Amino acid sequence: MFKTSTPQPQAFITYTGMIWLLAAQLIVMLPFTTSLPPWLIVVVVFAAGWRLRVLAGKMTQPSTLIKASLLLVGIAAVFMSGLRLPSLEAMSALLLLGFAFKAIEAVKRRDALVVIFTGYFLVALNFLYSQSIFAGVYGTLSLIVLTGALVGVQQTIEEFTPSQQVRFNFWVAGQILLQCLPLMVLIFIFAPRFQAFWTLPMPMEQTTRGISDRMAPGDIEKLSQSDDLAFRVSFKSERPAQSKLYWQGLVLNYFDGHEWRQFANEQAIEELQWTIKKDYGYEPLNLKTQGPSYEYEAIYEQSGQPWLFTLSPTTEVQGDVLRAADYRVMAKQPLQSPLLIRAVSRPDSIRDLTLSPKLQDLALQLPKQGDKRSRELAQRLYAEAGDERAYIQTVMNHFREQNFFYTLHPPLLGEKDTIDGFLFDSQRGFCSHYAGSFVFLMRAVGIPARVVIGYQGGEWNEQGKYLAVHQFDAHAWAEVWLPGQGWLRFDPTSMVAPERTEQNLEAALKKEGSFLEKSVFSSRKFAWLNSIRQQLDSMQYGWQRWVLSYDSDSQTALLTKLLGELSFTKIALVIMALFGSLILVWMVWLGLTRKTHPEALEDRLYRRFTERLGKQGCERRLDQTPNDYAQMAIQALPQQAEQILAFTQTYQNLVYSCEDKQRSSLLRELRRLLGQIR
Amino acid sequence: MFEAIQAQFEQMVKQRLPSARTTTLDQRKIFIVPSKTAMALLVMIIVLFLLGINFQNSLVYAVCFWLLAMLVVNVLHTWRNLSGLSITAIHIQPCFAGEKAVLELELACDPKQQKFAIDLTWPHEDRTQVNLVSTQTTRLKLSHSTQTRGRFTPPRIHISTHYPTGLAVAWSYVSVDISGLVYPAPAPKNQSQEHRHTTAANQQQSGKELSGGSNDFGGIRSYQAGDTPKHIHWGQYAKTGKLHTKVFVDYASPDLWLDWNTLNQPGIEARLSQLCRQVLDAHQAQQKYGLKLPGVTIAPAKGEAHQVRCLQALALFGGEHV
Amino acid sequence: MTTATPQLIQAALQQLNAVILGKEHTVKLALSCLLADGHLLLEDLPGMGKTTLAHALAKVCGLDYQRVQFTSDLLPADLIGASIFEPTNASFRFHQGPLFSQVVLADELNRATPKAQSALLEAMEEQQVSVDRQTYALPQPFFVIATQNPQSQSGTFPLPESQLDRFLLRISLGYPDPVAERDMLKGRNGRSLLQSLKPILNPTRLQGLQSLVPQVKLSDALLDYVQRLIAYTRQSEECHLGLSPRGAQALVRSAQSWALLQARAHVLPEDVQAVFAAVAGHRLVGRHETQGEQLARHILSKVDVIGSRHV
Repeated sequence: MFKTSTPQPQAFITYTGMIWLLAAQLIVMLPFTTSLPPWLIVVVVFAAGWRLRVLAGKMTQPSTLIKASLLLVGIAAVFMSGLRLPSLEAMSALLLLGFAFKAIEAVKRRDALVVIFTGYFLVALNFLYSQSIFAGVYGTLSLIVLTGALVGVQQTIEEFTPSQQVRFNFWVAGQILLQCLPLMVLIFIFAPRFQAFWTLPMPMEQTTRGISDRMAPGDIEKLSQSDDLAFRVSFKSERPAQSKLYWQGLVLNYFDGHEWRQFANEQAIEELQWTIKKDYGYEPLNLKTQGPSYEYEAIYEQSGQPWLFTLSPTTEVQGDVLRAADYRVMAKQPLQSPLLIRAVSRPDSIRDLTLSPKLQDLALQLPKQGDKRSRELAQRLYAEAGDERAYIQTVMNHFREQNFFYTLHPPLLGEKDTIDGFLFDSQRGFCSHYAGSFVFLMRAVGIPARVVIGYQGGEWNEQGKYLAVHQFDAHAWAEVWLPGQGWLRFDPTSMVAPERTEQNLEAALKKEGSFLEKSVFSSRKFAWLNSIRQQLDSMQYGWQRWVLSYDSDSQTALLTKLLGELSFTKIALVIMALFGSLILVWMVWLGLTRKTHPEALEDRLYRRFTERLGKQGCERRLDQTPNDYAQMAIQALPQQAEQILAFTQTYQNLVYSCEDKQRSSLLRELRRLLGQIR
Repeated sequence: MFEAIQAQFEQMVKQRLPSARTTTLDQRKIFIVPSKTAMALLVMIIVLFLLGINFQNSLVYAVCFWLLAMLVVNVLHTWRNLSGLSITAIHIQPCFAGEKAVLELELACDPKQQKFAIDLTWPHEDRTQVNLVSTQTTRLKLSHSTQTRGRFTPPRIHISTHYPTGLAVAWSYVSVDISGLVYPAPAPKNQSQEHRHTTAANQQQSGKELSGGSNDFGGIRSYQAGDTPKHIHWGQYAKTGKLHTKVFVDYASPDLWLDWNTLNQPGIEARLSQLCRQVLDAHQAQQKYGLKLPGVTIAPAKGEAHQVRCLQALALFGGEHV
Repeated sequence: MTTATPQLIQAALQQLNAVILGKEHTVKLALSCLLADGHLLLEDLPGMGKTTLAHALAKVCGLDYQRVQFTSDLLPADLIGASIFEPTNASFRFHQGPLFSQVVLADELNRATPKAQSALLEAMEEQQVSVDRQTYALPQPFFVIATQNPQSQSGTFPLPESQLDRFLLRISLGYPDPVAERDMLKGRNGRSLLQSLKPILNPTRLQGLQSLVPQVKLSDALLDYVQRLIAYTRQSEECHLGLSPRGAQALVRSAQSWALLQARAHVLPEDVQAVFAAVAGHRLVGRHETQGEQLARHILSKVDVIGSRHV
């Protein structure tokens, strides 16, 4: 039935069309230079240059042999660069290579379409590497250029100069994409979100960021030099006080005399998950909930690690996560893209009234030897204190009363007897020193204790109503298990530098002046920039919250909020209504609702005039001038002579003799006179 | 089955697209279908959707949906590019059988609109592409081969556009209510030349001079009383002092009759071809000629209009009356 | 337009109508042709008063007048004039022909040979003549009224379409209506009345009026109408040749001039309709029987006066 549509002639790409194509190619490939081997861009420029010279007639079209060998060399080079299959990088690199070489070959419109469609694909692919607002804006620009190229290769309009052609293509592409926007949003909101069918290779994350799964003296200090964002939290309920914001990340049980780790043996992530599931699974019965409950949403930045940070203990968590017996929450995979979870926490709940033997073993482990002086100190203080509670208090007081100093620049402690070195010699340290030595002192007298690392505090963004937690908020503290009370949190750092928990790190380091000293140009250094910085940050949060983290949960939540209880028919109706009104908007926008040959208003009024008189038997012939017709009408309908004459006069005046500035008043008059004619 | 659908479709096309001198394309007359390119893009969109699912990446979804929306919005743009276009058949250039009949069309659109890359096609015959950018009307020519003499009724014109992205094709058929003449194919030249020698050439020789004319200078003779002073050769007078008069003459040639009955070829078409050749030759020789066909007689005359009348009579011989 | 202008025109028309009886429309067309600075072609049978009209026009406008009878032996020199040898001083002197006159009546134009015809038409177009490498300007205003016999008799040379285009209007007087004819029979002879005509205008005043013609307002809607008419002649199946751009200009100019005769400062569709047959009649070539003015009137009846495509 549709075979009647004739096939398009295989149009060739014009010079301007080719330049469009190459420009689009360059723009699409540019962001890949940061994540892929930079020589690829050289290949692209080379290919583009070659193509342009061919088009200018300075070189001949390369033969198939040359093209094939070029491709082989390219593929070899991709693997020589250390990219391995199957990885996303290798795939992207090969696609880019093909994309670049296709330009050499592109002669016909069909080739151009292949290049443009590959370009669309690459724009999407780039979002696997970066999802920032900037990347989004850049991607949009690339889409416009690619669509402009699509318009450009489809037709060349001879009436236009080259610059007009460029502007025209941009204008058309921009207009179309702008008009697409509402439909895109509609589909984005309503399209069903599926679970991944199979696991594809993730982009290689070169560096992991944020808190790691081990703690040696000095680790957290390094982290505190960075003002990168760790995560953002928005509270559904009331927000806890600043000093209560202990974001538990992971629990470190094993101490080898120098470094704190989770377990004695190093475990890969899959292994760790397995261990947790098997031996240390979350047991809701061990938790006796009490106290206020806080509901919040947190979006974690991509860190390349699976750790998530919550107010411990959580009673409910939504999202693709794992919960462990130590009340930590962790993701099932390292975060390669921002992750959103919803959680409810009750920080005052009693955890583990009875301590399982396994956990007890972990919480009492100490190296066989070393740190003699500290062990002696523990024994002595415990003997003095008499019971566990008093002992803990004594140790805490010890940090305050002795000449301890909170600093970002603690002296090196060497490999051995680090606890001794800190407690007796340097007495200068950061939170890791205090937490580590505190747990050591507990375990030395047989009290179960463990190190917890995570973040403490955060910066409240008033514009966005959310809490931003940065790397410099990284913190380490301790938990101690007491019979009848379960796990209790103790923060020895707060004994030395109370400002750290009550306010933030900057306040705690005020005397030393070492806050973010390495990043001279950090916007945090300039108070007047704060509001702008917060605003930008708030924008990014919105982007993450509403765009990047929009998944099936968010979808359900949003739709329920907007539409009330959801049902298939309801959603279908809403979609149809929205789509229908969208089509209407487009039609109006594109002028499709207008009549194809509209007459001027005065002429339409005149036609109505003749219609009215025509109904009374006074039909107008085509060639009758207004005067002729009026004469005829007056003869036929003498009772309306005055009105007919007045209308005709005004019409003639308006159409044949008036100045432009009189038009509107005459038009109004004409309308009025028409009303007098029955 | 397929033929039945085809027939039904033809019926629908006829109903929706009546033949007229001027056709304005509106919603009811425009058909629109996605192109192959759109199918390719759709496949890519599906791949992107899978990519979005597997990486749970919202921005990949966004690109995917954006392209999907583009497929939809583009349809409206393509449609708009054809909608409101009016096609008027102006004229068909008469031609000889076997040559191309050229139809002249005028395309017009609303002053506020612009139309781009509109294809007009007679499948297997001719195609042309036009834009309406700076003007609201444009003229173009489309040619169609002809086989036999008589009236040429042009088949419907396929009018389509892929603008702006080539992702959709909007098309329609326009039947133009106009017909053109196809003259008989003139017989080859050598054959008729022979004929001319025998009949026409002699007659031309006998073209006689009409004295007392005013067109061409005929000579000088000595002045006679009564000669108009306007014709006195003053130059000669200045040289010789004697009066001479300039004489002027006109030429007139007798009429040439191109007669059906004097031809000895068998067959109607062959004779018509022969007469066609003779008309052309006589016209070229700027001769006065008349045409006699059974039932039709055209008095001798000359000039373009006369030639057209003669050729028209030949084209329509045996059919309708001139 | 000064306030005196309408009276002036009215007076002139009155004078002309006193001589040419019962032909108000034709007389007006002739005067509007003169005002529009165009040349007039009169197509009529002998004895209809063509000469009287031409003479009367010249007289009323205060212009000098020459009549040339075109015959088959008329030479261009008879029109333009010639350099004549003067034996007294043994040199040539240019003697101006009858063309050097403000109103020229070229009687029976189609009797002359094409050579003589083109001499006249060239002079009309160029407003000057060249003889022996010398250029002579024609008097201003320069107005040619040519007459033509409608039937092509033997020994006539009909003007080709391209040359007919040089004439702004083609009109015919036709038979007078019974009342006027009765008057005439009673002895009101046009020729004798000519003597009593008073010159209302003079060349300067006439040129003043001519300069007013282009100032008559043409609204967009009116031009739309004109363009619809022209488009119809070009697209219609009935026309072999449509109106040329020059023909379109002639239509507009005549309509402006006609509006001026009505003492209006803007053109109405009536004006266009009034002059259309005279402008288009000799320019259109029909495909069928309908030709000339009949075809023009048919076209008028087919084109809507109202309507514009501008928004």
